[in-house]
Amino acid sequence: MNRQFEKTAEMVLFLPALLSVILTLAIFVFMLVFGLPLMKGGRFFELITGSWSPGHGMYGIQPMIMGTMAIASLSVFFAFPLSMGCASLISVLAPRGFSTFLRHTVRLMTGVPTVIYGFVGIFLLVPIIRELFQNGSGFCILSASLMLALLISPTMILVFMESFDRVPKSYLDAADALGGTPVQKLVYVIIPQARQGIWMGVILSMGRSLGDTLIALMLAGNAIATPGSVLDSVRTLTAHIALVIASDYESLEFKSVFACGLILYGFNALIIVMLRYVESKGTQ
Amino acid sequence: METTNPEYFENKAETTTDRAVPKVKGNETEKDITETAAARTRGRRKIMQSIFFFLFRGAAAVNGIALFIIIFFLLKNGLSAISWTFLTQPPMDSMTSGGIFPCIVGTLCLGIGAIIAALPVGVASGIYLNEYARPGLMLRILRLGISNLAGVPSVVFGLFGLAFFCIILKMGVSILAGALTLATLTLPVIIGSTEEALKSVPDTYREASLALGATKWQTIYRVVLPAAMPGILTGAILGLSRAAGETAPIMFTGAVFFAPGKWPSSLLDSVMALPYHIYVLATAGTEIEKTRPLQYGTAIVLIALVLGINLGALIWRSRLRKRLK
Repeated sequence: MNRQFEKTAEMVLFLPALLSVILTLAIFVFMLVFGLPLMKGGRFFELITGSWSPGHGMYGIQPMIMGTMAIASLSVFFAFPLSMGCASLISVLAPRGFSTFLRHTVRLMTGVPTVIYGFVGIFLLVPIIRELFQNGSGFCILSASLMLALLISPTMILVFMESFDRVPKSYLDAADALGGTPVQKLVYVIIPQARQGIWMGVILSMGRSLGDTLIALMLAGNAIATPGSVLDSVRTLTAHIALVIASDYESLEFKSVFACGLILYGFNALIIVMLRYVESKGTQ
Repeated sequence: METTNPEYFENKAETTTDRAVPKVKGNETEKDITETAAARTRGRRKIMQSIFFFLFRGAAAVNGIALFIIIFFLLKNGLSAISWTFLTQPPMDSMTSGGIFPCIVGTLCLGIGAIIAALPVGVASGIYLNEYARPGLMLRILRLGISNLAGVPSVVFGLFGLAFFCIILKMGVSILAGALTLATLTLPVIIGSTEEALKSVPDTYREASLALGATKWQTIYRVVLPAAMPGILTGAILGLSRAAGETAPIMFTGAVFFAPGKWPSSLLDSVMALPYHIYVLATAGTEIEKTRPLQYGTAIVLIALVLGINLGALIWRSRLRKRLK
């Protein structure tokens, strides 16, 4: 009887663990099934390369894909040097007390809701960009990606720090014994050793910025056009989803939103694959 | 650059390399020449050192200053809006005055609802993964599923919630649908922190219990779980703060621009929520200028709520870690 009970307990615990897998698959299936009318009969290609003009029956989401990529890559580009500097300062160069303080601050910053960044962006950053470039409304790729850089940098810093901390102490001692300065230690020992972690940080935060909704929605201007410069206004896939949700659940416009969801899901899967790849390369 | 820190390192660098180099004048011996070369390298090294320090400091400063500006900006503009009325009254005069009480209630309902739904599932998953699962294909699938779920963009959760909970299960835009959507989103967070909490319980606890003849389940239930409970609860609180701050998943599943009355009357009511309120007032409201103080006030309340919960959980966790050591 006891053995029976143990078996049941294991089973009862296994099912919730399986639920996560089921949910992941369910999300995928929902996006696929709801978006299917737009993708049937080889129209998937049309969907991801065409432009958006629902009045003419065109539901292409190519401009949004471009917008998403532009904003996400630019934000990673801005966040990378910032995070590298912060992580180096915190885990190698700063004195202990100050470093602990910074660590806690960074950890706390990961909790700031993205709507706050968007809100502050509207009233603080956008006017500055507008004044500075005298070009358009200030709601543009640049504003969104600067704010997004601020949002993703805590994530990046944390991953970088963890990988810096994992460098074996004997390596650091060796560098010290050779008379290396802290900066030399960082540049020649720690950063090359932490390469894997650095890649993971970049990929992870890329995922975060691809998936963020509120900052792009509030700051990028939401114009449906393929971007030509960083001062252009664009709409991301996530913002598109938030804007198009209509009351009419049967319209093709509503279905196209699920196609956007599917593309975002695909981006996430790609991120996971890349993370796994980097991880496996590191352990060999 | 005259703060304590680089000087400390520069001094250390000098003492660890060579003695001070004498200034070379007149007829240079071979020894002198090598020493000037050494001095030059050292000089270059010193410059490099300062440049790098400057860059690292600069990077940290940009982040720090940005954070400071955000907080200062919010406090300066919004502090005057916060009053007892603001916190305890519903909005009045078509949103241009009054308070945000229903938003606070709505956010708490959604967040706590999400935790109630996600906690049992998340903790059970964590226990299975840490205590029962054996390496193999099944475990790999489970891990892949969880990490995939953790990375799915929040707006996609919103879409899923809309399609599944609101339309197919006919819950409509309601607390129930919103909370369940948020629960799917916080599930990976709770699984992760549960696993971490279980890992921090020393194996000697398990061995001692098993040696006394307890079964595996008895060991987990009576020994491991109580020891891990504070860590698990901290994770739940962190999950709550995450759920409370999310906007995108509740936009079409639980939150509305305006809900009448102070309290929702049932789980199938839609509610107002702080993050959504900020978004709507700042972008789609009819009188953006008139509601400016309300927006700042709402932002302060949200950030205080989320960071307050976070800070509490983090302090509690670091205390617990010390006690376990």
